[in-house]
Amino acid sequence: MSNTPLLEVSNVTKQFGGLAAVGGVSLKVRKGEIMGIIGPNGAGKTTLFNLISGHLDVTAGNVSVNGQDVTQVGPARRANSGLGRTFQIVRPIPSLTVLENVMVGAFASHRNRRHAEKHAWETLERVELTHRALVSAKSLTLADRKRLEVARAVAGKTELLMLDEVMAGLNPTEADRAIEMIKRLRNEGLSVLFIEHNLKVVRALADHVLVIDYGLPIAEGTPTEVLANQKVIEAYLGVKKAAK
Amino acid sequence: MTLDLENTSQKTTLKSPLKSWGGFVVGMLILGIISKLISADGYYNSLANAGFLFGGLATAWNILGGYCGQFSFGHAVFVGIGAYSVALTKTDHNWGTIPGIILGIMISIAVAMAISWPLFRLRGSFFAIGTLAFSEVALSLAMYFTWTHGALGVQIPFERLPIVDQKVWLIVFFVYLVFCMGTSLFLIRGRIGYYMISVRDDEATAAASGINPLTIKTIAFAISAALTSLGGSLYVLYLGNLDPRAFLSTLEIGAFIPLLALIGGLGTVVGPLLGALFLEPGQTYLRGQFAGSLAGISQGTVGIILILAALYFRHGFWGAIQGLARRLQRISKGASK
Repeated sequence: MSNTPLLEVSNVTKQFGGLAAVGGVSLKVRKGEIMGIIGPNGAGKTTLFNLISGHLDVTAGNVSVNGQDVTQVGPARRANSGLGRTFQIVRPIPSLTVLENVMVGAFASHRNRRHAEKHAWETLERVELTHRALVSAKSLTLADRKRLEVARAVAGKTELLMLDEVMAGLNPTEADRAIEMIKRLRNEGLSVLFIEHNLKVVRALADHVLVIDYGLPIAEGTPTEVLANQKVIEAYLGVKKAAK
Repeated sequence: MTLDLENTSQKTTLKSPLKSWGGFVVGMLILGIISKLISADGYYNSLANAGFLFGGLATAWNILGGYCGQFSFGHAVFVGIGAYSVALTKTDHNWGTIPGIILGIMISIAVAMAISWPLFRLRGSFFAIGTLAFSEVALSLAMYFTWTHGALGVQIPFERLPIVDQKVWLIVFFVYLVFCMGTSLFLIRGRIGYYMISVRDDEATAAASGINPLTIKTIAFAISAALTSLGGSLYVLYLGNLDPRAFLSTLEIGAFIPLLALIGGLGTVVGPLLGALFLEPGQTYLRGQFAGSLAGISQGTVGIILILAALYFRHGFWGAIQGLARRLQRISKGASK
């Protein structure tokens, strides 16, 4: 493991008018690590994700990838410097086939269409979606759409895969398959930063967990440590219930 | 899971034969032969001329409006730039034809890139309104300045026109059409084409895939403007007379070109040509039929066609044909089982 973390987020803040959606969050993801971000609804997880991927501009703070400050650059250049993301509400390109959607990602490193197509086939195999390759992206089931999102991100220059609730809406079998897929991608060399509600998934996947509530970090550590933390229990269940 | 990767990667991602170069060459050959056959009659020759010219213009527009989803009502400006560049350099400065055309293309690219920056801050219909305003301003300016000959327009002396034979013009317009459609096909088969479609469908996803939407839109705009300018240059050389109200007209050029692409099939390679071959000669025919009767009835008919197309076949003629082909395929598959 090298000394510079793959992703370093220091003290990022996002102010929407008077409301601080994210109020000073710092985190580091090292190469090969899987990090989870959890927190109750409206805690600012997705906003934090958008700040990291560049889909929103920070009010204050810095984001660096491989030691390079990317705070001032747009989402496209951040994607090319190694940040690949999925969206909570899946957004495939509807007028393209599944394979072509993945090719859009693959073109980042393969200018030639043949090469991009070949790379897209390989990527589809990694996420087990080859059997749906030639159908239109809008005809996929939710579980397959989420796989497609992952494939599109992985096909690019992604080193850190950012998954925004990739398990939401999946049934337990599908979720188990998705967990296996993410583990496999990590073993193949990717680092992962994910947002998740399902604590079973967090336990199964994360090396490290950051908990945020009202846009502020309230706990950090291994899944076991964090899930036993009093503040985290209060944030999830409310103060009164926790006291009972 | 076992998968025969060698075999599957041989399959093309593009199912339609008209998206392949082979299909393109065959289609263009057939079109060329048909146009050669009908050109024996002067009337049909002139209809084919207009059909091919507007087919090329609609194809050029479709690169920005169809593939990239940026609905421009301002392409009359580029028709105008192409036309003025040739007409003014020819009549006032004694330039040759080709340098004038190239000048027009350069200016069009520069203008497209310059206005991309403010205009692409506007989304959807606001972008369309912005381009409309831009077109109206261009018309006012063209009529105001003396170096553009103001409202009088430019009359190119007959002896300065490089081509006067209708049959030769048919070849020129056919080559223009082939060039525009070839460019369109080349783009849509490659990286930029996929990027344009991504930007059209979802800018956030495009950005997450490392695509800068503004860059892609600007590239699409510049290519589209360059091809449109070339068409404008040819048009003025064909007519010999530049009336600013005709060349920079929103009704006859700026909104008419998108209409052709829309009716033929937005965002497809073949659609804009189908729309132009149907509507452009169709409108000329109607104008002839209704001449002397109710004013504006030919435009009215075109308007009704637009409404019907918007209501009943959103994917245009080409979409309807593809739908029919798919249905036939399904029926024949069912029959063979």
